[in-house]
Amino acid sequence: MFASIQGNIIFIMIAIYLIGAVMPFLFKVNSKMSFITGCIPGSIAGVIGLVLGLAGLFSTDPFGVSFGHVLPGVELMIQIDRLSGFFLSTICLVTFLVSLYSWEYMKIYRQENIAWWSFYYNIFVLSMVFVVTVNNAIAFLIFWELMTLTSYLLVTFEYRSQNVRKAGFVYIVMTHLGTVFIIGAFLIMSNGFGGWGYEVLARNSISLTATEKSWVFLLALIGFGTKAGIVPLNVWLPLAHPAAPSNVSAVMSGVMIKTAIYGMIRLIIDILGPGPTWWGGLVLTLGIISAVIGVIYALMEQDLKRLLAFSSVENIGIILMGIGTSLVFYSLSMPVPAAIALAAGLFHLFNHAIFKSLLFLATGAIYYATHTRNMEELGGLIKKMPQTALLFLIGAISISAMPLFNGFASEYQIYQSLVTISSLRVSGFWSIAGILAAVALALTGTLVAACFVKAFGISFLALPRTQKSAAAREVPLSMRFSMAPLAALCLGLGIFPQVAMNSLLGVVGQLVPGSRVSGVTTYNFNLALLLLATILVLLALSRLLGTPRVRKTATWGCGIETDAAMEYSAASFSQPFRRLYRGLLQPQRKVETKSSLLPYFGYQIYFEEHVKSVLKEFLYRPLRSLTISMSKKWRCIQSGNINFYLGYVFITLIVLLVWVR
Amino acid sequence: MVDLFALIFLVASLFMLAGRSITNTITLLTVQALALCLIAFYLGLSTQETNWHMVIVGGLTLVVKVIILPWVFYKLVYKVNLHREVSLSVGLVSSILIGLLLIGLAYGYIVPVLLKDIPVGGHLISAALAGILLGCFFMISRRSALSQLIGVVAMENGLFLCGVAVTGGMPLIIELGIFFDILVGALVMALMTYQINDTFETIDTKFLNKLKG
Amino acid sequence: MTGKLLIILGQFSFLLLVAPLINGIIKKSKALLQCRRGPSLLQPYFDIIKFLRRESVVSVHTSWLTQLTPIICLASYLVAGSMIPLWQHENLGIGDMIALTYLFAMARFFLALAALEPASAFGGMGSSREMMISSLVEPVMVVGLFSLAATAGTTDINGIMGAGQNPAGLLTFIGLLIVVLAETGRIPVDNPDTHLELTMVHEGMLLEYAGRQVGLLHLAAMIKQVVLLILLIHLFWPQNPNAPVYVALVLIFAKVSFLGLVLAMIESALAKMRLFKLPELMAGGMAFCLLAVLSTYLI
Repeated sequence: MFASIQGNIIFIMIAIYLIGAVMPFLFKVNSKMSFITGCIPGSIAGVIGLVLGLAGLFSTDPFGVSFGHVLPGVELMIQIDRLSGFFLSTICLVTFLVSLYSWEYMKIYRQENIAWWSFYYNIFVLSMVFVVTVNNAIAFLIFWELMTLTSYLLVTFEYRSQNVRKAGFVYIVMTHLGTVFIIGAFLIMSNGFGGWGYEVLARNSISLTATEKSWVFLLALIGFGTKAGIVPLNVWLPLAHPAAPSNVSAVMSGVMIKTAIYGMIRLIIDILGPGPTWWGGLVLTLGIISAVIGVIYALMEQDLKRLLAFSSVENIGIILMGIGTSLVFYSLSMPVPAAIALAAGLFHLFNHAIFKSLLFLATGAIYYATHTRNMEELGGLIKKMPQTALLFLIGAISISAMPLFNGFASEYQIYQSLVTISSLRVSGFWSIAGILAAVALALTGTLVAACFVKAFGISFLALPRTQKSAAAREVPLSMRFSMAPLAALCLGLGIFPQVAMNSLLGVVGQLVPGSRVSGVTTYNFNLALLLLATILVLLALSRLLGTPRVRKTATWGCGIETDAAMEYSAASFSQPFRRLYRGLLQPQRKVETKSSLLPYFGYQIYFEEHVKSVLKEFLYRPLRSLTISMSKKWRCIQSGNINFYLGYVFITLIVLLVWVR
Repeated sequence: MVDLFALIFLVASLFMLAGRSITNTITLLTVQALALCLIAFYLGLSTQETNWHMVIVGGLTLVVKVIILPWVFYKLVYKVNLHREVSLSVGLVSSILIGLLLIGLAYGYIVPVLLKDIPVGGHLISAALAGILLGCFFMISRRSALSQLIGVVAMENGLFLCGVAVTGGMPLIIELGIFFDILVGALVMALMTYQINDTFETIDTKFLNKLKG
Repeated sequence: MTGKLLIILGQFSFLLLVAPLINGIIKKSKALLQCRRGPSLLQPYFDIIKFLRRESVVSVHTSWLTQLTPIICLASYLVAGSMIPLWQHENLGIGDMIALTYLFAMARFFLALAALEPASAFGGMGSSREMMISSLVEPVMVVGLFSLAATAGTTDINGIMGAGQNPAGLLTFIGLLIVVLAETGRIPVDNPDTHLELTMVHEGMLLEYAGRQVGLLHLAAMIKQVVLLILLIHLFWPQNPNAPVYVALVLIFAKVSFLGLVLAMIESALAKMRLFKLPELMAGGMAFCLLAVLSTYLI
């Protein structure tokens, strides 16, 4: 059954995940052992998966293992080619560290049932592994659904809270709607041919007409877009991510939404092949919209995890910008720039997986230490938990695309692709579109920087705003230890991006025929060297010249002693942006002044400002009311009488018999 | 060279949308007319034998649009004491962006797609069409009556450039007629504006609906 | 390798030496334009030396971030400056236009963080406003630089030397000049001379700094200004790459001083804009740059 050594390893990995899922049930619900048996197998399997993924990434031939026919015509077979290998290693890298982290982190959920959590979590990770490695559409859909369901159960882990249940509901409704579209795409592709393997579908897709291909493209874009959280399909994201425990949000935001990108690439580029130029244009436009709108909403948030969730929307936008550019090149039959653009998109995907899970884990650490995620209640944490602060800062710098870190390296490649598209002069339209897309990327970049200056500055710097953050203590070593590799990767990939880029070009070479790229060269190492050297020399000079006397004193507060109430708050930090983008955000401001005695002394000001989600207002609300009113009209067929229902079945049967003949 | 003048024409038309101050707008209108007259002179004098038709048209532009009309407008501004900002019906940022979009439309769609049968050098006619669109949008986005007047003249400038670009100028007599027309029209409207100001103490057109009775 | 290192060191020292003088020239010419006598041309040197030797007062609420920020700012501006060739035109391989833009962004990022640290409301205000202004300015800068890069077909700084020498480039130049005004915190955007709490942006962020650190930050700001001016010169008004070193340096100094004069004149002629009118100014800059793009590609 297992032909190769890799086959055995794959089998072992799956077995360990299953052990991790089942073992905790054997122990007393919340004993120490249940934490260990839930989390440690997950991380061991993660390491194995990482090795497998890397093997797949660098091997020229795909390898795999078959589990036999699970359904008629459906062979459950794991096949790891370079694309799968890349996604597998991303998933396993992140989940390996998250599993390690969870060991300590889940202790704050002591009163919940940890065994069930471990079960869902390990099955969730395992289903993601399957999603990116199976080579059959039906198996893909099965594991896709499994992934959705287990992640739903993880989101609603704290099910006692009304908000969490609501968030879980929105999540499952949206993603199921998305799945309907994906099924539609697969159905069109296989229509009348039979066979569900990717290779069969790819062979069939050649005989599809241009219109059918475009339909498949659109359905896949909507279906996978829902999971990826592109605007306007992102409603579930800012609800579900904060509702889930932080380690789960790290996995969901770091890698789960990336499986949707995997689906897009697999279906559109690998199976469907080149299409008209507007495909790329549409993906690019959606990417730009998601990036800009996502980050503007992120900037408005006071809840750290909601902020990070919106920022995931933005990063998915940036990834889509890379993929869209690549599709444009692809349809203009320019394989080499197409390959570079796609590799840039994938590179950003990998980087986002790293720094976003780092940020989510660090937010989890804050939650662990202070039991709040609201920035307005934090502050001053850099003194209380210096190492977590440094890790969060590295994540924030990376996501804001500062040089030396990996966010810059991948956004740089996307910029380069956009410059290429406008300098190749295929047409005036694309030249200008390239520049405009670069402008959107620059705008996103500055807004992200503002967003993370706010996120880090308000929650870690200055004075603690509440007792909660004043009493914070550094989190346990294992949590810090599992975040550190992510931070190191942020820096490492920022200094040596060519390592990642060149192996990704190998991945892309498998997808886009005729794209032999010799490899990209980057200057990041020189830049890092020079910058660090300059900083060190300046520091040394500053020391050598002799330090002048330093006096430490409290901040001058115009005569009053400074306290936390005088600091800039998160809401006031984002106020200029709220005013700048008021057309989009429609802030609702409410200010009330209550004076006790005289109007100038001892008065209280009550201030409230909300931003509206324009999407919710103008897209989802009408849709919902339409659905409800339609359902009300159809309610008359629900009589409640069982004979009627049998009658319906009978009538359907007759109609089908007559119609199909 | 003509391209450079056309660019100046375009820049002037776009930046009329970018300011609130009415005197600046008039200056830009003058610059626009100056660009027109330079184009006409250049087309007239750059050929082997001097094209007197173009030179005359250029001279007329210089006299009517560069000297008389701005002078009349400035006069009017001083009379109705309108040095301050005019009120807008479309925000400044969005009107600049819409202006850019209109230029893109003229350059990227109207001329190469809709008018692809007309065999003329692309730049002049695109600039002219963009000028017309921008003038029209200028009228929409401003509330002051004087701005409407300026918008009309800007549109006329665009039409004039269009004529120059397509046919190398209309017959001289028609050209003369148009100049006379625009001059008289502008004067009459200037007079009207003065009257409006006299009646309402403002030339903001949003008060004109009081006339409805 | 050693050659490149020497070049970089040379560029560093040129920037360090010239930046205060350029600032002095701008200040002096502004004073003369306003019929004042103004400080001596060398005043910025004296100021900086004085600051570097002064006792430093640090807020107790701050951490290592506050200590490190001045150094990071200075280093990133210096490195950004060394990317633009002054006399040699060999590719140093340390970065291109995108890296240059993002190095500026990095300095700003750290400065904005450090401003939040002392728990004073002014710092927070400056930091929040600075980030807002940068979100308006950076798109204009990118559109200007990218339109040039796309015409030249590369983002390499050597490759786009003089890419703006055409009619469309004139429009880009005006757009980028507006960017320079904003980035250096000059008058229509920010007032470098004021310490009035409600109007300051850049000064607000430096408010809690003192002594050596404020000296470093002032020096960094001056270097940033010179780097931006040199960038403009490199793009629109480059000199002969084969000129000997001293000629090139003198020429570039003359050109930078000339642009400094232009800045002083603009500053004297304009009034400071309200913060929320800035989108209009930046939309104007954007219009210039986009017009240039349109006219390059659609003709």
